[in-house]
Amino acid sequence: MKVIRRKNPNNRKTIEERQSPKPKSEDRVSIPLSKDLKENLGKFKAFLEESADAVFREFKLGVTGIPCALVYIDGLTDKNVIHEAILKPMMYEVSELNQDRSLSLDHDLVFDFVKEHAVTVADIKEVECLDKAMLFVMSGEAVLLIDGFDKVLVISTRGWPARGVNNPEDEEVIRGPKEGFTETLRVNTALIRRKCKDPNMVIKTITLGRRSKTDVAYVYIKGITREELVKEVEERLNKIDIDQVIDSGQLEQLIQDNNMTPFPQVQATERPDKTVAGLLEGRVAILVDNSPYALIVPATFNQFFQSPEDYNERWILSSFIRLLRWISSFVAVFTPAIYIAILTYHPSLIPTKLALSISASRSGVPFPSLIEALLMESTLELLRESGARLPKAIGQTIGIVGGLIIGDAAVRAGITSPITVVIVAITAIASFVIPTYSTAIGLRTMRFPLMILAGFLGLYGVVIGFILLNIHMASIKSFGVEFMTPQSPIIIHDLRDFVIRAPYMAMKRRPVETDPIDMIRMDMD
Amino acid sequence: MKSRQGITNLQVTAIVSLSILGIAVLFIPSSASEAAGIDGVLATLFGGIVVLVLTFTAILLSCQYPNHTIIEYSQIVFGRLLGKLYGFYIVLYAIATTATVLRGFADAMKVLLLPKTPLEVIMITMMLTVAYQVQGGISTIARINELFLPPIIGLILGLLLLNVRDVEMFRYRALLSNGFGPILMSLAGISTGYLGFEIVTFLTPFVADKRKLLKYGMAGTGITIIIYTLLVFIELGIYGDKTIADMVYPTVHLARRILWVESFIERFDIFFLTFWILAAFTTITSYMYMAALSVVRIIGLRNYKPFVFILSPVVYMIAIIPQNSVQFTVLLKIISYAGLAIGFSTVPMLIISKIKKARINND
Repeated sequence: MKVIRRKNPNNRKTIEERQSPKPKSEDRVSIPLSKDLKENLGKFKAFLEESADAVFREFKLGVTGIPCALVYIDGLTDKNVIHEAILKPMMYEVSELNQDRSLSLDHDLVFDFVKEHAVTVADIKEVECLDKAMLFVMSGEAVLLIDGFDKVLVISTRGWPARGVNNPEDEEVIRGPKEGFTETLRVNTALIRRKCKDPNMVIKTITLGRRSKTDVAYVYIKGITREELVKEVEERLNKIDIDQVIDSGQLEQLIQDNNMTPFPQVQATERPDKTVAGLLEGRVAILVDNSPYALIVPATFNQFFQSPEDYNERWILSSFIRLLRWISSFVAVFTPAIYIAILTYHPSLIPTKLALSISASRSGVPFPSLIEALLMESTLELLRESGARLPKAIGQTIGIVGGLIIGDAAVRAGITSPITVVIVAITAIASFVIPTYSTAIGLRTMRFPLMILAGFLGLYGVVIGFILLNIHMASIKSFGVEFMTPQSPIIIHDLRDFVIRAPYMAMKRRPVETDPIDMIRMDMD
Repeated sequence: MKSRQGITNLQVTAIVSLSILGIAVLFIPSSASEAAGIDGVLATLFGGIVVLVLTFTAILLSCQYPNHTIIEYSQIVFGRLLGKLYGFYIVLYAIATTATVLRGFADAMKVLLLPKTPLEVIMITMMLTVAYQVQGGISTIARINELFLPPIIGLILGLLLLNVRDVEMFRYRALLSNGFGPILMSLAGISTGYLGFEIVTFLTPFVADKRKLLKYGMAGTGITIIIYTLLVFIELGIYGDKTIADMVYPTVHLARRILWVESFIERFDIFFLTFWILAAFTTITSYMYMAALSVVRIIGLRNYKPFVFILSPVVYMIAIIPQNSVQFTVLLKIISYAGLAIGFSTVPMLIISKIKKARINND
């Protein structure tokens, strides 16, 4: 096992000491199964006896009287299947079968007999190793042990209360499908399959997490996605050695290229249609069990400004909305900084009348504009964060109290000027136009350093901030693709799906940024 | 993934043209009219063509040694000792130019945008930004140049377009009234405004597709020729050569003339200057990169990134030397002619290298 590296040698020693007496549960019992039912059941019990939700059901196989046992976890299994498709035929109907068809129930053949005639469940596996069987039990399968065999039968009985397919709440669209991913991996892969019936679509699963054993699936379409990209994804996933994979949000941070950045380099989406669109552009999607968010890699900055409805609306309207999004992203990041810079250093930049009315409205405000704007922006972030965690009913109250009452009262009390409130409000609204939450919050955070730069160096500071932001973003890569593609490096072909969403007739080929194998998307006039 | 190692050809164009477009944008019309009067337009054009030819020879020369920068192949062309000396000259030139451009930038900033901010603050913040950029590597530099090229070109062209109706053509009746004499005399001086194209001699090892380098590299110089010539043409057409010659930053005056949409933006010059910071930044970055890379290559190391932090204070120390704008102008002149010498040195280098290659082929 890998030991966590720490710089202080003493720390390292402590960690090693703590790790040395590993009470590995595997050591308590031998991994291979024996032919004795009691012994095998004992092995399962060694792990699970203390757990209240583990069920060990011992019974006899029909008239033959061969001892059997069923092991499963209560709550993860579908009781109906266990009653109707396993226990009932095995305990009761087997005898009838035996008489009617004169099938021999020899002790040596009973395992195959059960598999072939008794258990009426479609998905059945034979497992000869305790480890594997244990993993299946923990994922909700039932394990059937039969006396005299050193293998067990894993019967698919998964069934637990799960959230149904709902509206994707974080990525609502006006026009387009209204279904979103859920927490169950199988449902999510089914949602993807429903959108694209291409048998070339590969859904591979690996288990991640030393203890959590979370199923992680990665999906791609053979013949579109580059093998190199799939290999890169596989490599990065296989590198992960962590005790628990909680969510795709955590996985995203474990596989991303650059950790020192506020910007996501992986596109997370709740929407199956977006995921399938990504797959058809030659990308790879990663789904994590227990997470309603799929990850699409590689991701570029451009992608975070695209919404599925852009493709469902006519291109002129979509392009207009895209343009709006890009402008508002600029507004969200730079407006407060430019406001501070102009007010503090370059009041001559704005028309004289406006400058006069601004200075008149600011006459009672005791703070410099930097402090004033920082104060208001922080208040805004505070309101947003408090509203996000509260129940909806109280959230509205916060909105009214925060937005209307505090805003109005702050102006009346002379803490801030109305123009600052306007600027802050515009910034807030603009930042919500960006369709991807994580990008929006990344950009929004950039406001604060920019405001401070503007406060100290005026417009020059804003430009320095702009340059630094650009350098940073130009240096990021996502799975081998530059983050700022197609602006830099300029890929003229991909500019069709950038600020302007070109009509479908102009987008006959897939974007080249991911270098798909099959380039032709459309072949018609 | 298609391997996108190295820099693309469009990025070469961007780097070359943004290395040229720097502080000279602000005063090229006044130096042109000072040198050649109303003929400054033609002088700018012909000076540009001279530089275009030099770009051509520089790229041809670099393509002879596609895996080396000028620091290494000068040692092949001139021999070891002379080559080292030549390389040392380039190092000094690059460091001094970085400092000069930095100072010129800070002076302009202080005069035009931030009168109350100390010069040192402007220089240090710029230097830090440049250091951050340069240690990011050539691919990041290339991408930034590519990102900034469209807004910078767009802004300058917009500025020219908004002023073009005020050009008074009668001023150009005096064109060529003194023959080609003054133009030829001022050619060298004007050519210094195009300095920055030397960066191509440092790019070849990193360019992905070297076959098209010549075309795209020259396009970079070509863009600036168009911009400079148009700029000088419009400036001289509006103000006349006598007025222009007395202006320190004539381009800013051009921007100040614009009253846009019933004075919605009253001071277009500030707007222009903020974008011009990007142009100055890319120029300083190119020279800084040149300096850091050549220092490292001359010692024989590979990784130049740590040297950026050694060079930055040195550059700053040089940049604060000039006490006033007169001293700065002198420094700028010296540096410019030193740079021009490097540009012209590519011609004999190309000939020598051709002869050497021919000799090898004959043997």
